[in-house]
Amino acid sequence: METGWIHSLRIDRNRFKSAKPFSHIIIPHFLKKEKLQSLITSLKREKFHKKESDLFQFSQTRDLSHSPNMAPFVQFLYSPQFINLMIEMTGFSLKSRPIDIHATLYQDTDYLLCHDDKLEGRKIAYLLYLTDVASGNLELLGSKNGMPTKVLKRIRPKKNLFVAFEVSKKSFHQVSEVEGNDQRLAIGGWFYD
Amino acid sequence: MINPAYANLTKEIRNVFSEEKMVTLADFLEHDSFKNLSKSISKLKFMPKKEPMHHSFTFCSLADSPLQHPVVLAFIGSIINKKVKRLRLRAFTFVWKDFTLLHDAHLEKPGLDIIFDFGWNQEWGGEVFYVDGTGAYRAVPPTKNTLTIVQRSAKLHRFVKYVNNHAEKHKHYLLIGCLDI
Repeated sequence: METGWIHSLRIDRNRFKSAKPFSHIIIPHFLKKEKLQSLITSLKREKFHKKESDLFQFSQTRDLSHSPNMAPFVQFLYSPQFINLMIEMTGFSLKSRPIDIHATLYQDTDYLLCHDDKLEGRKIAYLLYLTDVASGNLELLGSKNGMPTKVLKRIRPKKNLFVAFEVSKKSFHQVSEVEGNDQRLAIGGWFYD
Repeated sequence: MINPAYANLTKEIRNVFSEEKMVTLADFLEHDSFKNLSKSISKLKFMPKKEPMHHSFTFCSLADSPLQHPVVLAFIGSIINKKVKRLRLRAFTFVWKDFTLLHDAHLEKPGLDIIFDFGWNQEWGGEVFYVDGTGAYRAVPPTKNTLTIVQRSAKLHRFVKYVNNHAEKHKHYLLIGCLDI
């Protein structure tokens, strides 16, 4: 599939469905090099606001879906080609709008503790990492009787790595604390059904 | 046992508590009492309690600490203006990666909280916070030998912020309890 933003992808729905501990897919080298660079350049013009609660500490942009800076990337996310790609990969029926889009920046001591992302209508969570870092792993936890057990998979953030996972009552995940000089920059959000 | 400086300040402290619903008393115990308490707490056998969606810490129940002495309970009673029957108290340790979360299933009933701190660097996380759901919050100062009394309404909930990597191998010792009146 060719959308102008991404390279051709071989669609294997089984890869998403059968992933453990819950359905997800990891795609390295997701965007074309020049598109990735233009996305990072656009993001540099956005403001990041510190957010803190019992559950998290990180910096985040506003919803980028109406940001003029981000319009080309937003159009790509909204494009029938990309939505259809997500539908083919996941097997879910997904709406083309709304799609939530935020960028997050995790720096030293930032973290996101265990939660399931479950909110009315959210079907797929997606993330595109924009930096290489040694900390701030996305950790997927197993579950038993509706409660998270332990971390079963760790995904190290890598520049241009795309991750999407099913949002369900058992999609327990967390972001391990970022340490030292790491700057974990990512763009992500949710697709709805 | 209690810092004698507080003996003549009961009325003022009671007024602060009545207005603020929270009062913090620094240098609460006399030096020797604090030293003995610190020593006995460090010898306790703490049990780990870890549930990713709720909390991560170690704890131990306390029955006869100096804070549970009738003299201390009477002093606290004079501040909250109620007779204190008992202080149900637990000792906690929070180390790197420990936390507690606000979570519906674990929310406590309204009550009067007692928090006693043995000293900690707030840059390391691990502070006790109270939030009321409106975005407002109050932090309990993590200073050595400090007692905080909080009247926790139905809207007010407590959590302990995630302890970050700057804490290295340090342990945050805390006593947290609830007054029976």
